[in-house]
Amino acid sequence: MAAPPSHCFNRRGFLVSTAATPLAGLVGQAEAQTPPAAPAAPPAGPEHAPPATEQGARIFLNNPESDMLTALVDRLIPAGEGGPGGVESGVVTFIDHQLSGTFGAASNWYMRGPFAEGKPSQGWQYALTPAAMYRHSLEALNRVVRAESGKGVAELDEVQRDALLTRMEKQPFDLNGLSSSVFFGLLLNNTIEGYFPDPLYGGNRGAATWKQIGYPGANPVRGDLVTDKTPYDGDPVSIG
Amino acid sequence: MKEMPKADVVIVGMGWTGSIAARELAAEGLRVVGLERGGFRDTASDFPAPNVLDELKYSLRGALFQDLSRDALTFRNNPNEAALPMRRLGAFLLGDGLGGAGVHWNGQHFRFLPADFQMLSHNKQRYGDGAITDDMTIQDWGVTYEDMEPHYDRFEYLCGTSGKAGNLRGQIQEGGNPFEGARAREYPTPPMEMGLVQQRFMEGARKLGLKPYPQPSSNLSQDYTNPDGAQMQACTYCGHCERFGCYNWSKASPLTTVLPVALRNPNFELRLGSRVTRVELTPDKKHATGVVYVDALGHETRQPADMVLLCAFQIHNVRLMLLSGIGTPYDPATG
Ligand SMILES: Cc1cc2nc3c(=O)[nH]c(=O)nc-3n(C[C@H](O)[C@H](O)[C@H](O)COP(=O)(O)OP(=O)(O)OC[C@H]3O[C@@H](n4cnc5c(N)ncnc54)[C@H](O)[C@@H]3O)c2cc1C
Ligand code: SF4
Repeated sequence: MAAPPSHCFNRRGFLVSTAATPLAGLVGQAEAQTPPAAPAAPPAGPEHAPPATEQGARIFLNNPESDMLTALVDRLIPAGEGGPGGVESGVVTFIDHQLSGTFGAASNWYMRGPFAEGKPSQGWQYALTPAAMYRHSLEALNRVVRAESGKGVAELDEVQRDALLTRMEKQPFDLNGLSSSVFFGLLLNNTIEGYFPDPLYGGNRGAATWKQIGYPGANPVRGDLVTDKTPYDGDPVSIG
Repeated sequence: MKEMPKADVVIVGMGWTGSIAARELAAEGLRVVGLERGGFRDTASDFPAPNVLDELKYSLRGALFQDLSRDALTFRNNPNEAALPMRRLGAFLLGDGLGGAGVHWNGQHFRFLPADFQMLSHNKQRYGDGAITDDMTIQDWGVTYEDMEPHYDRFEYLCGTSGKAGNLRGQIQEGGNPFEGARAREYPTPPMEMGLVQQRFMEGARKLGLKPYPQPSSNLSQDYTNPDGAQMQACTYCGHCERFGCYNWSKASPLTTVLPVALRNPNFELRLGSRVTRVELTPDKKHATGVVYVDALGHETRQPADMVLLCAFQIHNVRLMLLSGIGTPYDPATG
């Protein structure tokens, strides 16, 4: 197998090192998230084709949405050595399940109007539920990208997808009224969530990312670990 | 409107404050009705391991917190901003359901320092009268640390709090907080195990001449039976206290301490799914006569009572008072 571009490791390294802090601290405050370091210009290398999707298994996402998300998640957490890539670990399946359930429907959020612009410190002030935001943004994003390059998001090569994600975050552009950085924030949060959740939720397949960071998972009895100086190397316990 | 028979006491909200009041007043022989908007939950049925150790469900999606689609609030960060709805949960988390926030609190169990009760007089004494200008709204509480000590003590023994005293009846104790107010006795259980990070921090702090001490916690270092006979078990350090219910009866909460006692008392009646909308007042607005609530089936219901206790958490208590015509809204311009 060809060596993956070196910046893959940087991004994974970031996720893995911050995962040692509680997950909630990393992704709980969407309004104050820490983005991964901007990727250095990727070295030229063999093109890494987006992994195959499991289109038959989607609940909320339609096939073009699933392909686009697969292409983007594949660059947020690339496949490489040392741990699974985001796609193979089930992030897109996780996002699909989340969007089809109570999170996607914002069922415990206050979603009635009127809607005002709001300051960043005032959090989510959009009339879109998370599921609606994905649908809205992916459609608009595909149109922007197609107008610029003649290709759809899912057809972009690695370098182009990296550039697109960087722009979405750092030089926000309009997605039919919504800033691309807002959608980027949601996507990044859900991608991180989908990389580390209990396997019950469709991400973190085989608890592989927990093994990677030495997280015991839903293991209720950890008394002897409190003063143990050696890293945890037991198998993680999962609910599902 | 549906009319309920009059009670001696009606309590709005069954978190720590409501549950403690229910236990105490029912034991005094008063007929107490507890109204809680949320549902029932208990350790064995709702928080079994490993299911409750679910970061996504509890920590990130906030399964135990207030359902904002039903009860929302608006906020602003300064008076020049337009207040907007808090549409989804962020850092500010509100309890919901039997036991309230006491179910998903962390269990950090501090007392106020003596000076905390006397912020006005303490600071005047220390920095001179001029230090407190007219626009500062601080006041003394009206009770002192010494008044509160027996109650602190009783609550810690109810919870089984784990810690190390720093001041026993005026004698400074090695290993505790030397600045705390005097305690009548030691904590009911010794401090929790210190992890490697805490140990290193304590070493470093000691080298600087500081006096680090283990934080008092109502996550129990040992098995414990409280004075009411409630049994609790030693914590297994699963690390899922805050935002979660404890699977192991190791974290003191209304569910593991006061509620089982209150619920066994025939003087206490709990009504879940009951959302209080206002306090009813006498025509001169000097006395509360009961509350109006919407019951679990959506029926508006009146519960008359001689005593109305607002235990719905401060932000909800203030809102209920304002909706009922009690008091004047705070004006940041005038203080
Ligand atoms: C995640 C978290 C961690 C915390 N950790 C700590 C800690 O480690 N140490 C510490 O000292 N404190 C901690 N706190 C704070 C502490 O838990 C709360 O201050 C305390 O539990 C509040 O108790 P309460 O009875 O005033 O209100 P609550 O526990 O909020 O109870 C109010 C109850 O009233 C009900 N209610 C509200 N409105 C109505 C209505 N209109 N009609 C009927 N019922 C209603 C609610 O559903 C709720 O059950 C924490 C809080 C949170 C959220
Ligand atoms: S077992 Fe201990 S660490 Fe786990 S939730 Fe209970 S009190 Fe917290």
